[in-house]
Amino acid sequence: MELKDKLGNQIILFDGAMGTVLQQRGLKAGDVPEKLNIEKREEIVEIHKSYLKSGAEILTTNTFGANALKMKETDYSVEEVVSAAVQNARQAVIESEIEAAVALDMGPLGELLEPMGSLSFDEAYSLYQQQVLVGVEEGADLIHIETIADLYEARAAVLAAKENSNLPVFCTLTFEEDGRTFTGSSIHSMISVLEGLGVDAIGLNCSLGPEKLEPLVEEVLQYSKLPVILQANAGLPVVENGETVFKISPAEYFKPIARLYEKGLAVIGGCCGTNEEFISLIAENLKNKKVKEREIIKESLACSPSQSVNLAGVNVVGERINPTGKAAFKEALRNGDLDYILKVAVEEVDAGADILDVNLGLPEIDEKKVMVKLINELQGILDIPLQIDSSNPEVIDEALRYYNGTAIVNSVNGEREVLEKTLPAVKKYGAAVIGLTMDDEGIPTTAEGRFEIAERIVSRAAEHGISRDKIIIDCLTLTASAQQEGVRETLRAVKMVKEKLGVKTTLGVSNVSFGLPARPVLNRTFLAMALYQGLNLPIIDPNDVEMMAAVKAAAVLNNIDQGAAQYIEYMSELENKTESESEAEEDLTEKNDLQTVIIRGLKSESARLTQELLKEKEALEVVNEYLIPALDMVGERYEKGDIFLPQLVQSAETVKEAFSVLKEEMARTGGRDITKGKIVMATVKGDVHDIGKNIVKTVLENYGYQIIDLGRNVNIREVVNAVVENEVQLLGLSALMTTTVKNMEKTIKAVRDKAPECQIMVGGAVLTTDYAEMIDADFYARDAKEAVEIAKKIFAE
Amino acid sequence: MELEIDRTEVLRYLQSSKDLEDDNINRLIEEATSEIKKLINFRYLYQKFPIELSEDGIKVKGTTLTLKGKSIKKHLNNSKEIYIMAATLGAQVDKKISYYEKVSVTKSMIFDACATTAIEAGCDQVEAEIKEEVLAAGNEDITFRYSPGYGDLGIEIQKEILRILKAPKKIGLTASKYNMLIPTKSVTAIIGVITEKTEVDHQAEDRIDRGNENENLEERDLEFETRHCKNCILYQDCELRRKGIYCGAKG
Repeated sequence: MELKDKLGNQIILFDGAMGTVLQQRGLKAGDVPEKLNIEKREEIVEIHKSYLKSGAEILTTNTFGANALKMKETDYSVEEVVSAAVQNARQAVIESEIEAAVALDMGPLGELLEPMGSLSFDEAYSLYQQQVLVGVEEGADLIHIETIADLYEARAAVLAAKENSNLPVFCTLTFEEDGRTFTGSSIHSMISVLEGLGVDAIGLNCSLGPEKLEPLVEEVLQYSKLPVILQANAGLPVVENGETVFKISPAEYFKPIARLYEKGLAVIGGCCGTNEEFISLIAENLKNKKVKEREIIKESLACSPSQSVNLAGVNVVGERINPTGKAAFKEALRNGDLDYILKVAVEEVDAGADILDVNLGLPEIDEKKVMVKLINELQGILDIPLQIDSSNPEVIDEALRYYNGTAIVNSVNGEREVLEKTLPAVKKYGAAVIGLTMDDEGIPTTAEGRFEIAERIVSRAAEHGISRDKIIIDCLTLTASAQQEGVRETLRAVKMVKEKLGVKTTLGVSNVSFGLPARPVLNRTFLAMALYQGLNLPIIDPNDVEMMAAVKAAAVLNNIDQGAAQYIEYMSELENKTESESEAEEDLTEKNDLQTVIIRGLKSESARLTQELLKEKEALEVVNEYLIPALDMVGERYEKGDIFLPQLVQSAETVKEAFSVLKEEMARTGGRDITKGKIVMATVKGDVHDIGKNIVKTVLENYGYQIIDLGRNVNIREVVNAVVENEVQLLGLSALMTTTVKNMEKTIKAVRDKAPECQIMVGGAVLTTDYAEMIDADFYARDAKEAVEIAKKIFAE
Repeated sequence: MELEIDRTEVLRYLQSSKDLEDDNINRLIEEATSEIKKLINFRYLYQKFPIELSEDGIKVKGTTLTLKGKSIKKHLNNSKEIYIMAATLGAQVDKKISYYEKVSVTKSMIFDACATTAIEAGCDQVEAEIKEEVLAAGNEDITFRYSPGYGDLGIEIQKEILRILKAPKKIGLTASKYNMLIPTKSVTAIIGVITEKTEVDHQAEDRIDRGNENENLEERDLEFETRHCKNCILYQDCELRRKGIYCGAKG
């Protein structure tokens, strides 16, 4: 029977371990087992044969680490190793005359991807692609991706497999006992993401023995519609006399597997510590047996690797990441100041948003580029799932490719062209999608009209293979002041699409009150009405406490929030927040000149006092009469050892608050610019330590310099571009390790080529004046203060 | 394993006096300490290997690894066996540090210092566990833990060490192309087994000093630095120097 026909219907048996078997046969610790595909072909073929004899129906090639990152440490290329490995497995099949499939095995790359590590998603993709292409060429029957801890890496591997072959793709992650991978991925997110990408079977491997993994596999069996794989270790390894040994017997190993078989397990094999005896015992008992039927709980999620939101519930989508009508946001986007946007995101999460809508629609920016960059940054610091909001299908496609999770796409509508351009990407990446009930002819006035469009969207999506549990319909909120009768139609439509189409619903809420007094009351009332009609995803400003409270209250009254647990939690957190804020304010009653506030590092007070001062003084006067003297005093005290580094930085951040108030004032009044000059700063490629650079940045900003901060692990080209585009006179580079100083040197060389007039200062733990000179920097800045001196010198010229 | 985060150590990493009087900073340290404890997923491994001296350096038997350089040779002068260890606080701590970098530089540096303190405390516990094992086997002592990058022991061996311990698979610890450990709050180290007490053991003496004379630390540090470390490329970032330990390299 063909593998694809058998999968999910009859038990399929994988082989057992390769690596630990090779070690038992004398492979040295630290050596590269993949070399043996070439150096000891017979031995590899022999191991494959023993697994065939014991009943394995799929042989995994000895290519766990056969990627270019690891192979460069050997004398062989990826092509040589992978092709030899596939041939070895094939040879074993032919010589044994036992029918079996050959799976191209791909393990983790051994380096962590951005944002945790420094390997980019594209690099990871290419590394896997290289293996896939050889595997396909050599005639592998399927691709088996295994032992992955980072869902992002799994995505890169799966996409490489699916975009470069037509083979079935299996994927297993490795979990700790608590149901998380080392990088924090959960079972639910794994299921959502991998099913979304269209893999053929999913499951767990490695880490623990089958007994410990049993509850986790049960969870997969409960929630995944795909055939489920288990390849457990032979228990936990113990070190005896310096040797790693696995202690459990094939019989013990089999017990939990037998139980899981009863619950619907479909694909079984072994990982570290197992051998042909383990496989043999499974084969004796289960080979060719029919896979047991199981009940599956269907869920539709939006998720990041570690956090998921069930779309069927009621969840708040934060609307603040959107430039429309916000001058400061637009300005930040134009300046490439993503930190500003990240702060907005952090605020929304703190305020209780469940999902963040991300809209960067500003004509003068490269939306695609900024969107991908922002998504990467957001994922680096937050766990909340994202909603990609763009009217440009290319932006959506690119964003979905790089988003690590299951996103929501906002949005398509009833227009044929829009649907055809956007739905393929939605399908390919397994996203959920919002459909607006409008088309070329506008928004239908009646609920029936909007229902019709929703129906059309659902059926068009179905043609693209998108099931309706991935569809969220936005029946569109109209403004009560202009189209009063339309408001009720929206509410009716929500109920109709929900009940008759079985889709989820979303609404932007605050439009309803436009042009009328006391808008919050209208918004809140409309929100409550919509929730009663079955609204799942209100798009609101989560900082609006009344709106948030209304959502929580409705969940209680609709009997969704069982026992009002979430409501009570939200309210008590809210109370705590208000209390601690008022405490902090009381604390401030005695001292209130800006200098004291800066010296003591009281951030919120600094903004307030600056605003007060602006009533009487010009922005520049505030800088010269208050900020600079306070800074000088803080600097002096630090020099003398009266205060320490964290206090210095705290004061610097307080000054920064004052500055941002001043900048807003300047933007509003169009007053004279208080910036003294632009400086580009970056932590070089390969280096992910950013704190030193951030301290220097904050202090430089205090002295009135505008910093274009490129972040950490920055590509050489990106630095050069920023220097050239912004025509800056000064570049600051940071590196913390001897190995990354080499990239600093390369960056400097590249900048010299393209922008010879730009001066370069460097800093970081391993640098010295001599070293700086050696790599052709103009200045070495030992600390933030020296960086300021350098900046003063350059911009005085 | 519960890791203690000692405030004095945190302040040391923050280049501050242990008598720091700043309500804000002290509160932030307290908050970071309790927050980080919830995020830490401390994982560690170690394994014992026999070693032998060869022309290239110290060969770690049964593995592909050879330890090169003068400093490690000196460090393992009295050892025939070593332990190789790896430990990490896990990925969530890194993520939180990045998070605070966007929210507040002050918080991020404090959080970072707490994390460094925690991983050092974790390593101390692992070291104690190893020491117990070593003493139980009838040996005299162990050397302090020596990491790639100390002295002239290159960090290029980072990946090989991780591979030998199977650290990526077992504890989720990897090294980047540039041999940076990721998650970043992680340590790999080599500990020598000392079978019998020799007459000259500066390191042990240094450590005894450290225990007894905490109050004189600054003075002693100064003297110690001029003696050993001034010319070292790692001078500014050396975690050992901060603790008053000399790695053994001649600058």
